[in-house]
Amino acid sequence: MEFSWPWEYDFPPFFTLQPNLDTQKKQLEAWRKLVIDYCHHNKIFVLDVQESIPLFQNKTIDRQLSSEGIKRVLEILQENNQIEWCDKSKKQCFVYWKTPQEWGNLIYCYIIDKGMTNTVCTLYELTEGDDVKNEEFAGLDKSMLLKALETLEASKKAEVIMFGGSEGVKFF
Amino acid sequence: MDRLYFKDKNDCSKEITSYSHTTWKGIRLYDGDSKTEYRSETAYLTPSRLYFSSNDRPAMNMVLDLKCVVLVEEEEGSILRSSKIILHLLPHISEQHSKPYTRSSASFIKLAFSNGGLSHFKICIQKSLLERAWEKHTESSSTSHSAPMAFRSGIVGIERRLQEKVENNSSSIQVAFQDMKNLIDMAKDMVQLASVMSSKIKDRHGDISDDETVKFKSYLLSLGIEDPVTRNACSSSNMFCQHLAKEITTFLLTPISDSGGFMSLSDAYCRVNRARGFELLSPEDFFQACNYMEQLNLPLTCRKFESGVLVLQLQSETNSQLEKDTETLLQARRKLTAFEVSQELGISIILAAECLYTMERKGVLCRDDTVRGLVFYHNEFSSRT
Repeated sequence: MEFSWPWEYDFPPFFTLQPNLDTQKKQLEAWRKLVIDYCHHNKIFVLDVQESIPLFQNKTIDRQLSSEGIKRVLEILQENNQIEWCDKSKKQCFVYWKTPQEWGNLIYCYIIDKGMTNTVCTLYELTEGDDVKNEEFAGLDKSMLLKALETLEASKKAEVIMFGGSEGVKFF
Repeated sequence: MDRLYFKDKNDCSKEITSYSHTTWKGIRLYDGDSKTEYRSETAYLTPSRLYFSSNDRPAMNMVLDLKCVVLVEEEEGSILRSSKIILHLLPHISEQHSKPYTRSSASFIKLAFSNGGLSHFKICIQKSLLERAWEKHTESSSTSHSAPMAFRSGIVGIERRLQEKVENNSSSIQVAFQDMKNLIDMAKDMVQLASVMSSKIKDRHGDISDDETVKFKSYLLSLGIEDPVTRNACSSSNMFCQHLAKEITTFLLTPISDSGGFMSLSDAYCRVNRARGFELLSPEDFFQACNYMEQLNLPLTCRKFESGVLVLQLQSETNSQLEKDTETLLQARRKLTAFEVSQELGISIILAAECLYTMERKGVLCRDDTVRGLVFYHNEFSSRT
């Protein structure tokens, strides 16, 4: 399914950081929403700032958001806890269109549904296996998965275990 | 040696005898470093010349003009050589004289003193060279013939030329300002004439039709402001500014109303000065007068936009009219540049830009800033959500 761009995406001023602060606030809010929706639709878990993706540029109207603009958008996202920088270089960030907590809950509900508590499954089969193909968390990024499982560990619903070089998880 | 020349003994006997105390005998002459046939000369030193006479030449003396001498040097002797005086000479000056040498490669001559007196000679000739008696002589004698040295080299020459230049400049500046003064006087007369004519027209209504009177009057008016406020006419600068403010208001009210209620201060300044024609205002005076407008409750005020651009605007008129016009324009076009606004509304680009910025600050517009220029759109961020 094609991503449906919001109307702002075809509005040239959207790509100029607005000097009027009120206007800018609305503009950045629109950007925030767009980034989340876009990443959600394309299942992007880690966003590379330097990578050129259609998100920050619209070739049809020949506009692109300046690096200063991108920085401001990501700042807003960070304030909303919707991204987290991978490292201090600020080149890549996790995009939380669902928080690790939400992912954890989704996975846990699935496990309960299938009656798989007290069994151990590998991380691979949890996200890439045939059984989970139609689940929302299919294809979940591994580092994101670990973050999700950490939240379950914190509430004593799961435990990540290492065996023979591969990782697995046991749900309670 | 080619700087020396022969002169009849009788011509110079008078000059020589009056300087008989500066005489040296037994002198040998050298052309450069080489000996000459003049080996036993008697030298007479006068303030401007050096004469050599010899018994070998009963009728003729040899002469060296001291103005040819650049430098006097003493050459130390040794056991085999006597001490000598070296006279360094200026390049050859061609004068029609018979000479002992018509051509010489050396630029100096040497004098050997076989009878002594070398150091005395040196002192005397150096003194003569310092006094430069020949210059005084030519100056006093050349009052009638007007070819003084037009060109002199050296620092003195440069200074003299600079001095001349300064004098020329100051005289030409004076002439220029005299012209200006004439112009101002003329302009005054012209304006007076114009006002006299206009009053005459007022009196004699019958002769000319009303239509023509109006027409002629408008010509006169376009000549400018009839009786401009000047600093001299006002007692204090405060008064001056207030009067000026009134004058500016009266003059600019119509043009400003015609151009959408705004005029940039620089435009206004030019218009007022053009209307005055003479007694021109300084930008400083103009600006101060404009600042008085609000205080005097005049229909115009001076306003500063946030970018620092100054305008005169109608008191009654806030930006609203201009903004309304711009908004109407925007609805028709979807996007606007300052240039388009200035074209459509007949205002300056600066003012158009200011208007757009103000509207942006109010959140009515938003901008699209690219290399192609700054374009304003309706603020759909606000209107759509």
